Amino acid sequence: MHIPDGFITPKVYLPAWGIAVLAWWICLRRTGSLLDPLVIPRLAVTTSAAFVLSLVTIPLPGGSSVHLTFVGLLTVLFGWRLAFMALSLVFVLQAFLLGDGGITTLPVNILAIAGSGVIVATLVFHLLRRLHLNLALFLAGWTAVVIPSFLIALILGLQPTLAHDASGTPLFFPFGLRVTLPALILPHMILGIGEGMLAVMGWRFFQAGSRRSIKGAIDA
Amino acid sequence: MIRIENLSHDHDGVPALKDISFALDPGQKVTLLGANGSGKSTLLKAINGLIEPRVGRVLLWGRDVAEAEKDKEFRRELRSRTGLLFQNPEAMLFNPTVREEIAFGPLHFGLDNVDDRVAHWSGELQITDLLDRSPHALSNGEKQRVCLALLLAVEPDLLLLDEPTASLDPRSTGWLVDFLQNLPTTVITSTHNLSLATELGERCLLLGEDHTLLYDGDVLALRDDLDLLRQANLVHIHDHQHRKGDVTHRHYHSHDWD
Amino acid sequence: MRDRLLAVIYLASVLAVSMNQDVSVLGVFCALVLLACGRQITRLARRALLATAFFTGLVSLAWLATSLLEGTVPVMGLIRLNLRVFTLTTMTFLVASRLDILQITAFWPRFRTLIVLILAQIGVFRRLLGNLRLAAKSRTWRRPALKDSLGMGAATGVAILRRAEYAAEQMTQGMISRGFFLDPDRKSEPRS
Repeated sequence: MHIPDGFITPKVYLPAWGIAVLAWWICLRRTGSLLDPLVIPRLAVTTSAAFVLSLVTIPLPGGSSVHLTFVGLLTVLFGWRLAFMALSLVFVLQAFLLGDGGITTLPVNILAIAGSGVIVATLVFHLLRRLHLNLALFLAGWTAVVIPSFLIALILGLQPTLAHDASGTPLFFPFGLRVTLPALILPHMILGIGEGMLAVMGWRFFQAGSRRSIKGAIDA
Repeated sequence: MIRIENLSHDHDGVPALKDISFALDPGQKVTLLGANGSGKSTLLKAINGLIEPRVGRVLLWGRDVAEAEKDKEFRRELRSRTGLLFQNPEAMLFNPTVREEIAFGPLHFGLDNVDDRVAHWSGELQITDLLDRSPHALSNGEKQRVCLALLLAVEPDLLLLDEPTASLDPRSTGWLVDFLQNLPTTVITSTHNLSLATELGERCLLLGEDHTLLYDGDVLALRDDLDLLRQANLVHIHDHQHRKGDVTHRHYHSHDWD
Repeated sequence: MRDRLLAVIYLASVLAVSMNQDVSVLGVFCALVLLACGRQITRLARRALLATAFFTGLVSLAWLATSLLEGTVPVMGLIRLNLRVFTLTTMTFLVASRLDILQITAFWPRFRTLIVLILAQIGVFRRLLGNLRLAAKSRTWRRPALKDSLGMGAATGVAILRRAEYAAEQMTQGMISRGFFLDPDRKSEPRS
């Protein structure tokens, strides 16, 4: 789902960098207290696991490829701030180690995929968890993939309108909304099922263990 | 120095330790012997104050380690005076280079001569060549040496070693045994290797598969008590067909080379 | 200092490449980047091509096909797009191979610890993923059906999450045991 470098006009990615830096600043300001002893190792392994699992991609016709993003799972486990930072780290690693995404599209990918994903997942999970835990987890995972795909399709689809030369030839991504919306959203509605199931399974694994027996020298 | 009083623990209802009691004097070298799953790691972690036992208590220097959670000064003392070598050394590594890994403890606890300590202990453990490498990129045997060095650099009074020879070759194992004998520190070493136990110390604690303390005493006497060893699943009996002659016989075996 | 300078040059070049629409100038930039790669030129260029081939190739072909239906061929547009994507990606790989992320994050030790742990765990999980793939291959004699592939994928995810949970627990204990979460106090009296 990541947009590679060279498909987004500076008119979009420069403001996006501004917003992304602001979002990071907000997270960092509060993360000091969030990075408590039990969180650092957990955040590290979850980020690493998300990175490794995302190495498996499924190519899509019409302009992109899909990953497992773990947005829903990370959000329900760590809360939106840490999830946002973990996913940002995954995207940075993907861009610099694998060339998946890139420096110019990094803020767009971070905001559209991680940012909107953690917000949607948080809202859905907290609205529905009292109703039915597994349903809340599943829908948190599902919407955290589908909503970002809508945003990515929107950003890509607007490129020909935002940046074209005198003759109307697009300078960056060449297709409009009529192509990008169905090409991205439909496959992600299916992929979201996997993400939803992942959130349900992952929640169970992580809740079963870690916190029960770790005692001792923890600075409150 | 250490007193364990009626310690029992379970992991989500699965028993790990049952009514363990013993005491240790400063400077003693003790082997904790037991089959896989007998509770050796759990016992060492309980002594290190990492898991709170369901029943009983661990006293270090006369104080209950459970107090460390509330008492900041004692917590600091506990962390700097005890060192636990994890069965999986990877769990202990979080610095970018071996040098920083070893320097972490001395810096963190405000000890003096940090550089000298790093130089000394990396030399003792023969890892001077690895100082600028990432600890995570090393082999398991090398990681184990790095972890020993980082623990020893803090000069703890009590060293807890969980299966330290598991990924060492025979030469390194021999070296480690000699090395530990010459340390002034109190050491508890866990192993499931019977022949190694006889080399690691005179006193041996034997954990049974029922998670109780089956034996506490002289290791040589234990070596000859085959019934007890069989009960602890450290030796086994099977039929043998030897090549020469048609004689089939039964005898006890320990398989120590794993 | 060297790392910071490199980062500034990189960011300026990124801006220049993405703001410039002249194909010949883009060509010059591309040549400069390849020149800067030095001996690594074939390795980095190959990685950049492989990393972007699918997406860029697909978009280019689709663009060509839809334009042909309308009776035009967007030659300049296609060259511009492909040149830009290739130049930016090669540049990113070039900088990634020269910059040391641990140097850059040294100002914030806890964050750097997080990075160290993440990189170490990626190594662990990658090995696990490789082994799981080999084990699946070793147990099957033909290409598995979609249903089986999905099952294997789920099992892989679960295995990695389980390992992650175990690693997190062990790592937490290891760090507690070493006193990582105590407040560092370098002013206290040295213990003899």
